[in-house]
Amino acid sequence: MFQPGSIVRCVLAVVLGSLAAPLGAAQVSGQFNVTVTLQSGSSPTPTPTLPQSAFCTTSPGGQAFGATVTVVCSTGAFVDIAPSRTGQPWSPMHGGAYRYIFQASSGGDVLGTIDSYVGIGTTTSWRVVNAVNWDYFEMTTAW
Amino acid sequence: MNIRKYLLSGAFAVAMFAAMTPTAQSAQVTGNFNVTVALTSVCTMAAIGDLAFGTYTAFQAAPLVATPTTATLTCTRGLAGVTANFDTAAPGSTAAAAAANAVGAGVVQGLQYTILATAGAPVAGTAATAGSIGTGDSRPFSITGNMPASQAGDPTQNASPQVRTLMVNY
Repeated sequence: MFQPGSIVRCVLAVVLGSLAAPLGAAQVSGQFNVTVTLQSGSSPTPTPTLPQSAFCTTSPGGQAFGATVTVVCSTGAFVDIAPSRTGQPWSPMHGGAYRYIFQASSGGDVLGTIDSYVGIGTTTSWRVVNAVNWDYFEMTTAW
Repeated sequence: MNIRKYLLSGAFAVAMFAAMTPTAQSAQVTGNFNVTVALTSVCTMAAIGDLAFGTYTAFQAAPLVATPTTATLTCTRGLAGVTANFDTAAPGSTAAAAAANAVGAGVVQGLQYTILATAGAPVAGTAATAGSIGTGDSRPFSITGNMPASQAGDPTQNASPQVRTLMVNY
């Protein structure tokens, strides 16, 4: 009744048909935004420029008891006017606060993932001197 | 007197007959029928949040990883062979062929990035019952992004935000 060749052709047609048009093929899609803020020299919103230091000066002639001392700070915050040692005269220049842009690094390499944060902070530094052989080390603390 | 007696006897006979004889041939006949339906499987996708890289400082030493976002699909229960891929409509964007996980890349603000949509384990819905319509399967895709280090960037190339599309095939 049926020729073997016709059966083979029917089977082949069914197989090819199923490959060409999978049942229920459909698609759903959704959009999302990829966002980034590029921080560069030409960025439209650069990091605010901050003063690098806030040195203050005092007027001369303020060594006598009861004298009026004028403290002039060019920029930034004024910390205090206490002399470094009791009984010592006023220094004509008194170091104060430093405003800076801090980025954690080690040997010039930015550390881990915290490098992405560049913020505003305050720093201070001091030097410890060994009076025997005048060795010293300096330390900078930022917060 | 006799008439009354006969009437009572007659009424009694009718009542007994009615009680003993079934009413009008009670019986049952049945017919089968088929309930048919052609189910077209569908997935719907909820709105996707931004893939936010945050701030990239030009020439920064470390790669920048975006905060992941999620595409959540609700699908016909028991779907198999679900694949996904990203679009290539955004300028400079590329996408791998549809697969279990979608892979793509692009450029925004002159910064190259790669994106990956990873299919999470489907959360099976509840089956329908005669008293409940049931719920669909939940299929999450977690979308992550990575921006290589040491890039100069270009504020004039491909503004941020850049629209990308995740397509899920089933």
